[in-house]
Order: sequence, then structure tokens, then C-alpha cells
Amino acid sequence: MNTAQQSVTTDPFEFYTAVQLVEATGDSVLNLGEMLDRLRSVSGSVIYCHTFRTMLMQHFITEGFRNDFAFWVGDALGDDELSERLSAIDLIDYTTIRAYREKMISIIEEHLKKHPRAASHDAREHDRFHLCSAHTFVIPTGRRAATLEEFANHLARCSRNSIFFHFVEARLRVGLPINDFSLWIAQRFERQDLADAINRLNPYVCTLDQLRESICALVEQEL
Amino acid sequence: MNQTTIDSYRRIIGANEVEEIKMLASMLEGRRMHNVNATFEGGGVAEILTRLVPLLNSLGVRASWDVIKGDTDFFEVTKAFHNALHGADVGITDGMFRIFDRYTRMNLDLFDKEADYYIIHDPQPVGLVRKRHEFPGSMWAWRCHIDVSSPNKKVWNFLDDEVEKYDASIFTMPQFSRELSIPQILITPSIDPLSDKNRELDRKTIEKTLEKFDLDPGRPMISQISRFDRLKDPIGVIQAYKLVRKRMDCQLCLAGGGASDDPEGQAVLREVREAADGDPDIKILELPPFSDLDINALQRASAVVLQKSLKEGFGMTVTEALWKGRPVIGGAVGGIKAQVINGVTGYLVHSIEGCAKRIEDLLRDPGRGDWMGASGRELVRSNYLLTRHVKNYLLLMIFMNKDLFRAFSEKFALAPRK
Repeated sequence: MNTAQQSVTTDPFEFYTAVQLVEATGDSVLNLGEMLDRLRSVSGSVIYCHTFRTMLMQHFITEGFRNDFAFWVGDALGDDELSERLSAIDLIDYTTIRAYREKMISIIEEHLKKHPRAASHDAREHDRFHLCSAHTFVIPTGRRAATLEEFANHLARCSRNSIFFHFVEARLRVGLPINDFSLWIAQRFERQDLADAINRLNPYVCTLDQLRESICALVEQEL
Repeated sequence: MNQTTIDSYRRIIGANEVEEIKMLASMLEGRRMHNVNATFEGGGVAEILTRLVPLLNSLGVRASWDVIKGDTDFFEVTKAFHNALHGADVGITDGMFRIFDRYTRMNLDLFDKEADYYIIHDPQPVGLVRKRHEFPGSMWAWRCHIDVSSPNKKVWNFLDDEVEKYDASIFTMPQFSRELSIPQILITPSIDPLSDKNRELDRKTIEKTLEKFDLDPGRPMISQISRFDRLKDPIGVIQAYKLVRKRMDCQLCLAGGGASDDPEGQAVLREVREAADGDPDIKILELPPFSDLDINALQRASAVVLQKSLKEGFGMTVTEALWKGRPVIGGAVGGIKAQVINGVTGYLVHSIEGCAKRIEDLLRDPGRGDWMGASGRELVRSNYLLTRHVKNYLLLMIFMNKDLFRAFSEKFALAPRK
């Protein structure tokens, strides 16, 4: 089985959580040309670390979130136009790190066509971008739900990491524009309407706590 | 005396977070983790181990902590090495390496602690790794708490021979690390929300502290609580305050410790007093050791906390202020940039004028300050509390143990994301 397409949906639904340990790769970049080169070659866990993990660290922000790449381009290179464009990429549109990586590459390539000298415009030495990767540890929480009522109960009590894992990360794992909760509800209860309503929630414009409340509210309406 | 356990943090981080930590710990129950550093007292490393080791034990990990032995000549050498690793221009002689090596061999003779994991903190005990062959199957990590990004090459090359014998290294921030052949794990520092410096205080305690220092509880206070050090730019803070003071009523509190036994600190303190020029609304406080409750109260009483550093490590004073729900205006350097999310938990500034402008913004709109403070508290709650530190150590133990790490990967294989 291709693990990249593995879903965690089981029956009953088992809640997992995921925690990360971050590792410095030892590699760093000083300008946009070097950044573009690394974006083409680094492992997916580096891209994940500087985007999705940063989002998890700043889960309470509902507007103005910038991934590490966008922040560095604005802060260290002073390139606000490119920073804006990189932070405006809507993560919800992507179900693979590969596609997200390609989008960033295409935006930077396009920018460098317009501003070729930007490729070698160096940041100050102490503003180097240090590339890091994330090791993810997935742990079963022992929480299991066989009914929607049990599901709502556990959801109200599980950690933010667990919600992030099942709702945000799930897309990258499953490779489909759907989260684990919706997948289970559609398969187990044949409630496509509820599954779709949950899946329409956008985790990038609310906090994880707000997301939890919204999902609970949708499920509780059905009880 | 009540023993602090992970459950003591339940109301702060939530039951689900506590359960998550317990779950990780259950996989490591009974494993022995031995920490070694240079001192039981004084300094950030001892402070963190004092809290981390009992907490790990309460979770079932058999954590222990010991220090190496050394006389004055050894610690003079390690102080010189410490400064040289920070990039300071220090004379390093061959004799110093001989002294370091002599004490390393002496400590190796004394070292007989059996454990599954050895966490060796900072350069002083780095050579203990030579003993690893006597503890088959043990795993060794070197925890570097200092910035070795631009070290004296002679000292670094000497240490590097030992560092490469470890299974892993741990650094505070990626910009502090080196290129090594072993993994470089990143673990940021943390604060303990139950310590005197960070625990909740009632209004009365805060007011008593203000009274003690002749600060007016009825007027907005700006503060910078930090060592008297030029890199913290206390003069810049006074200049920013003076710009604000032209237009708004406020008072400034500059508080710091450690100047009494530090000639440079004394010089900076004199300069700060001169810059204050007798302004009664500028309070310059030289705090003695063990002033944690006063620091706590001053941070809580501030309308705005500044950390206008020109160079900074991680910036723990920023973490402390954010935890107290105060907005922070910080210099855009070092670890401050990871904590002050511009416009969300405070403002990053690059100049005295910019700093003054942001102080004014927050004094005119206290509601915005409170909102930013609440965001800052969430940032710290999720990322910079002692409980997260414990979690990182547990993950590190799993990461270093190939069998456990494989079991994890196989149990629920998350292939590298494509």
C-alpha cells in the first residue's frame, strides 16, 4: 500500500495525534537564487516544516499568517511583492507537498523574470534562511468513536495537534481534497451532506479551536 | 512540599496536552536518562534541569543529573572557551587545551553512571562521550546551549572531534548550529508557568511591588527588564520613551540585574543614568538575585514591554512578557523574530523612532495591546512552556532509539511527504 495515500479512517474512528521534532539540515541560503535552487531539491519534510508546521505553531492567528518562506523574503530580502504572493498561496488548494512546492517555484521564477537582479540580492549574513525539516511522530490517542455522538464527545476533548493531523495534514496524506473526519462520516454513515459541510470549513481562516467548535456544531445538529 | 507533576500543568495547557505527554512517556517508562553539566547552581542550564528532571521522573522516565568536577584553572579555561565559541577575541593557548584534557580524563575516571541515554550539556563535559563503549547500547546527545555559529576555529575544531562521537546534537536555534555529520535537533528554551517569575499574581502583590519601586499604578508604564548591556540598547529605550513623552503621559521602568559584579554592566548603568538625566518618570532598578517575584510583577504591570535588542539569543524576557499577556515591542533580531509576530503578538522595530511610534500606538489603544497580549500568551502556551520542553525530550529519546523510532514509523507509516 502506498503510504502516501493511506487514510486513518477506520471503523470505529480512531483519533490519532501527531507531534514533531525539528532538525536543522545544516543548509542555509542567502538570496532568492539559492532559495529557488533549494526549493527544487530539498525533501518534502523541509517544505512541510516551513509552512504547515509554522501554521500549527501559530494556530491562533486568523489573518496575516505568513509561512517562513514568505516571511523571510519580506523581512530579510525586503521584497514585499514576492512575500505577499508567497503568503497568498492558499494551502487548502493543495493535496501534495509536490504541487505546493511547484506553485512556490513557479511564483519565484516568474518574479525573477521580471526582476532578474533579485536572484543574487543577498540578505545580511545574520539573516540567512536556515533550512529545517520535521520528523513527525504519529500516536494513537486511545479515543475511539463508533457513533456520531461519541465522535462529537472525543472531538471536543482531543488536542489541537489531533485536529490538525486529521483535518489539515490529512489532505497531504490521503492526497485527496478531503479530511479524515469527512471521509469517515461519508463512508460509515453515508452522510455525504454532513461530510461535505465539514469539508467546506476552511482551517486557514479560523483558529484550530474555532474549527473544532464548528465541526462539533455541525455534528451536534445531526444528533 | 508538594511535588510538581505533569498534572500540575493541566489547568494551564489543557487535559488533552497532558494526556499526549503521558502517552509519549508511557513508551519510555523505566528508561534511564542521565544529564551531565558543569554546575548545579546558577545559569540557565541548571535552571532548566532543576525543573525538567523531576518532571521527567514524575512521568516514569528515570532521569538523573550530575555535574563534572573541576578546579578554578579548569573553569577559567572553560570560560575562555565559552567566550571564544561566541566569537569573542580571546587568547587561546595550547596549555588551555592540556588543562581541559586533564580534567576530562579525571572526570572520565570518575564516571560510572549507567543509563540508556546520556544528555551532555555544553562544552565543559563534552569529552565524557569517550566512555560510551563502556555502556553498550547507550545513546548519547550533546546539548549545546550557546551560539556556536561563528566560533573561534581552534576551540571549535578541538570540540568537534568529541561532538562527532555523539549520536545527535541539540541546538536552540538553527542559526546557532554548525554543519555536523550527526543530526542537529532543535529544541527552543522554555519558561515554567508555575515558577515565581511566571506564576499568576494578584493585584495586591503587583501594587505592592510598584509602591516599593516608587512607580505610579495609575499611569501607563513602559518597561524593559533585561541585563544592563549595550546590546540590549537601554539608551535607545530612553530615547524612544522621550519621544513618546513629548506627546503622552507615561513612565519608564528599566530593570536589570547582574551589573554589580560586571565592570561593563556598571559602565552601561552609568550611561543609562546619564541618559535619564534625572527624569523622575524614569526608574532605573538594579535588581539583586532572587528578584523573580518583582520581575513578574513589573512585567504584569506594564502597558507595553520592550526588548529593543540590537543582538539577541532567544530572548527569554520576551517569552516571559508574552506569557503575562503583555504586547512586546522588540528589535527585529535573533529569537525575538520568532516570538514577536508583527502586528499579532507585538511589533518588530528597527529604529528608535519606529519604537516610539509603536509605543504610542499601543498606549493610545490599550485594547489592541490586550488583544496582542492574548495572542502572545497563546503563542507561548503552545510553543514555549516547560511542558513542550518535556515533550521534546521524550521525542528525542524515541528519535535516538532506532527500534522505537522504527516501531513508530511502521505502526503508522507516514512516508516522507512527496
